[in-house]
Amino acid sequence: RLGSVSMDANSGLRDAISWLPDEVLGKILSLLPTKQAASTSVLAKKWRHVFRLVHTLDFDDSVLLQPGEGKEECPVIRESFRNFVERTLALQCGSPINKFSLKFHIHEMKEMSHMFSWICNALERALKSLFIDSVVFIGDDLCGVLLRGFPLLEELFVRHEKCEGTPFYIYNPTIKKLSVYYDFGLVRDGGMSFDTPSLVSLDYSDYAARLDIRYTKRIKKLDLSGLIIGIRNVHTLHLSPASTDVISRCVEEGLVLPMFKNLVSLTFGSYNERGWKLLLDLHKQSPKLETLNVQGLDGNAGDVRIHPFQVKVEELVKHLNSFLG
Amino acid sequence: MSKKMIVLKSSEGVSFVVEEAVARQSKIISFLVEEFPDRELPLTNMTSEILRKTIEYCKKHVVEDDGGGDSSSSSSGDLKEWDVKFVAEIDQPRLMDLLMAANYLDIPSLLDVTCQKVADTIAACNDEKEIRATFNIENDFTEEEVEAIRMENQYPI
Repeated sequence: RLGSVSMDANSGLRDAISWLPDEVLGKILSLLPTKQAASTSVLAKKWRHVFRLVHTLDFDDSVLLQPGEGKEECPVIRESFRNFVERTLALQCGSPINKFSLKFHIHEMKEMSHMFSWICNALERALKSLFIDSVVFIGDDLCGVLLRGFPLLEELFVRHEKCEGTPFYIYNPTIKKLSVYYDFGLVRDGGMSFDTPSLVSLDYSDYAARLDIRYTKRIKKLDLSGLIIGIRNVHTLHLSPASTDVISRCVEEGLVLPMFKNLVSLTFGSYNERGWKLLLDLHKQSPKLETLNVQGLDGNAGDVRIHPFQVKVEELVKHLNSFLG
Repeated sequence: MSKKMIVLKSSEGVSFVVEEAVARQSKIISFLVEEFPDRELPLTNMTSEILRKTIEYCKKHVVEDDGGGDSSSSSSGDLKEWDVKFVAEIDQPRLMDLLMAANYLDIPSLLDVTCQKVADTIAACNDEKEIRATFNIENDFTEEEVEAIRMENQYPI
C-alpha cells in the first residue's frame, strides 16, 4: 500500500478510513459494540460487508431495555435480538473469533437452545475468550458439555447479578484467566469449586467463599498470591484449618495479604500457631469485618478447648494476643 | 558504549537520525536494518511530520535492556496515560496518517492506540450521518438501499 500515507493538499477532506486494509478495519470495528459495528454497513457501498470482518462479538440484550423499562418482555424485540445474533454469526462464515461476549436473560426454554447453539458456534471458531453474563445453564452444560469439546479456551468470564446462576463447579484444563462474579445473596452449601490446572489469573467475587486448599508434598515453592488477590472481594470467607496452614506458610515466605475491603464475615480454623498469627494479619486487612467464627481449636493445645462461637473481633484478637503471649 | 544509530529518510528527503533500538519497534525497520546494515532507509510514503510523530512514539516506548534498573523510566500506567494524550492531540486526518504509518511500518502498539482512537471517535457519533461527516465518507447509497439493508439486518432498536 505504497503512497497511501502521503498527504495531499486536501488531506482534511480525504476519506482515508474507507481505504484502510481489511484487517485494520476489522480491528477497528472489533473495538466497538457489535450493534454499532453492524450499523456501519449503511455508511457507503464500500462498507456494506466490512462488518463481517470483526473478530470480537458482543451481544447484550439489556440494551433492549432502554428507554422504557420492561420493554424486554416484548416478544417481537426479543425475536429481533435473536435474529441479529444468528444473522451476524452466519454472516461471518465461520471465520475465527477472539472474544465472544453474551449477556442474555433467558425468558423461556426455547431460548436456551438458541443460546446453546450460539456459544457452540463461537467455540467452534477457535475462540479464546468467552464472556457470559446472566446466561443460565442446566446442570453441567457449560463445563461438561460446551467447554469439554473445545480445548482452546484461555479466558472465561461468568457473571450473575441479582438472580441465581450456574455453574458452581468450573473445571477446564486450558483456562488461564478466570473471572467469576456472583451476587445473589445466597450462601450455597456446596460452595464454589475450581479445577483449573492452567490457571494464571483468578478474579472471584461471590456472596460467600469457602476455601479449602490442599497441596501435595511434591510442590516445593507454593505461590498463592494470584488466588488470594482473586478472592479479595468476598463478603463471607470460610477458611478451613488446612487452607489456613497453606496460606500462613505462604505469608511466612513473603506473601503480602491484600485488603479484604468487603469482608464482613469470616469463619476461621487453625491447628497451629502460625495459623492464628494469620488471623491477626487478616483482621488488620479487613476493615469491615463484623463476625468471626472460630472453629477447631482442638489441635492447638491439648488443654485449650473453645467451641465454635461468635464474638466481636477486637475482643477475640485481644484474647488471642494474650493467648499467644 | 555508544548506541548504534540509523538514518530514516522521509518522503520530502529529510533525514532523521534515530537510535536503532527506538526504530526497531517497527518490525519492517527491524527487518530492513538486518538486510541492509549501515544504509539510510528511505520511507518514501511517509511525510516528515508523520515520521517525526512516529519516532516520538517509539522513543517513549523503547525498552532498553542494556542499562539495568533505570532503563524504562515510565511505568505501564504512565505510558497508557501518555498514549491517550498523544493521540488526543492529533487531529482526525493526521490520526489516519499515523494509523496507516503504524500499519505500514508494523508497530503493533501504535496501531492499537490509533485504532482505539478511531473506534472511540466512531462510538461518539450519534448516527451514520455523523460518522460520514467525521470521516468524509461519501454516501453512495440511495435512501431505498439504506432502508433495505436496515430491514435485512433487523437491528434491535
